[in-house]
Amino acid sequence: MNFVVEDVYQSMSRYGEELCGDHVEVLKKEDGTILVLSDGLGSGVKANILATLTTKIAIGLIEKNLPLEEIIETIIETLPICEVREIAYSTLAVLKIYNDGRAYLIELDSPPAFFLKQGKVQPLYMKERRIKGKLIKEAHFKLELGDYIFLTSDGIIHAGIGGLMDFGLGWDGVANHLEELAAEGLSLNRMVEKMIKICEAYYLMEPGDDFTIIGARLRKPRYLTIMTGPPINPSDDFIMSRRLLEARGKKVICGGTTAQIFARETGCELECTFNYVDPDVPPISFIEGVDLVTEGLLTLNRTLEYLQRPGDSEMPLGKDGASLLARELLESDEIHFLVGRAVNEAHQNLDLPVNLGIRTQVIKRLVNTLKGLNKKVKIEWF
Amino acid sequence: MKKHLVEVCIGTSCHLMGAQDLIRAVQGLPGEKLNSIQLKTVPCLKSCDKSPAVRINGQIFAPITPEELIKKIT
Repeated sequence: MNFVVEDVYQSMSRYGEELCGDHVEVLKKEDGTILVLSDGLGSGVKANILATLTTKIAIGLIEKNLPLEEIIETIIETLPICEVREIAYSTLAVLKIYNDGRAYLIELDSPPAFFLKQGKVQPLYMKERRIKGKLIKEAHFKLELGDYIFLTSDGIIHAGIGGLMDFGLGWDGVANHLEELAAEGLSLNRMVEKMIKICEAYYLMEPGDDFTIIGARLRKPRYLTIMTGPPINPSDDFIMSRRLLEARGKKVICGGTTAQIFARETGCELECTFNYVDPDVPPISFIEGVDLVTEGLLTLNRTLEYLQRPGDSEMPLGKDGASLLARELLESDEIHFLVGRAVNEAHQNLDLPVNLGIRTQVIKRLVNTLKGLNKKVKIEWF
Repeated sequence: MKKHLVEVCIGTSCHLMGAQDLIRAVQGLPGEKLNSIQLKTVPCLKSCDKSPAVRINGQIFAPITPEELIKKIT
């Protein structure tokens, strides 16, 4: 059985710096996921440029399936030289995980990765070779369900220098924390988030270096089907409702009329509430067997806003329909939209901006945003 | 005493046109009067062009203001 690679990363800039000198690129391909981490020399703008260039060059060449030698050579030859230190320098870690669990790791001056098997950090057998004078470490290994792999920049290993510890947390210290977090049974998201907070605390909230952690693991794919909007042809009401009822994974309905159609066609009871968690988002409703029932247009637009928040990797934590929907979307890998195109004429007179008022437009923008978040999305129009 | 069944539409149009105000108006009634009312919400009363809409004991009123609603149920 094929799995999906779940990946989460979070960075924090050196205290007082706006830009982070670490950079991460993620490339989702049909057969797996490629994660690239680079730590640029120093901190601030220069480090940010170096790290961004390194990851962008690496991911671009990896995508073209160029050999490793060529990728490393190109990176070494392309980076701009620092005027002060007269060197072009940034670290590089590339991890490719195939959907069947095979994994390939390359490290160029990066801290060794943390591979957790059955909750314990295990050593990875790294082969070494030199390319253009640079020492490259490589490992081929297999990731199984329940295993984790973490890539870090040295700011994680050195957490605490200038703060709580003279010599920093160290690789073993980080390994211990990761083992503890794994034992807590946290989600990958929470593990990465907590590790960042732990490092920040060791630095006494004033990090002396940029730091980044990427976590990845295999898991079963999560499916989500969303039914929204009444079909143009009422004879499709039944087909659309059955499609949702029989869909695998989680089920969501967006739209009051859509919910009524589903309830009518399947004989399920629709229960509405008047709990306005957020005054701008209409309350959610309930139908047995459906994971989330929300209002349509306003909720979809607000959900889109949540998903497009720049630089915000955290899940919206609210309990309103839009936050709940955004969370469902972010936690899913494959999303299937069942979209009815019947137009509610009354919505056209609500003085809503055109792109907010037309369901098909909202859905298209939502789909594009979700694709940008590496989700597999399918739309079926009715 | 027979309870009034008050169903407030919380569909898109009605939400934008003040469904929350209707709900708040009913919820703000003094205890004795509130006890004589069964307040519910419904996803759509098919009166989007006249929103906000309310169904009182099976009869739809749209558009309706909070004051008009309170007058009808007290």
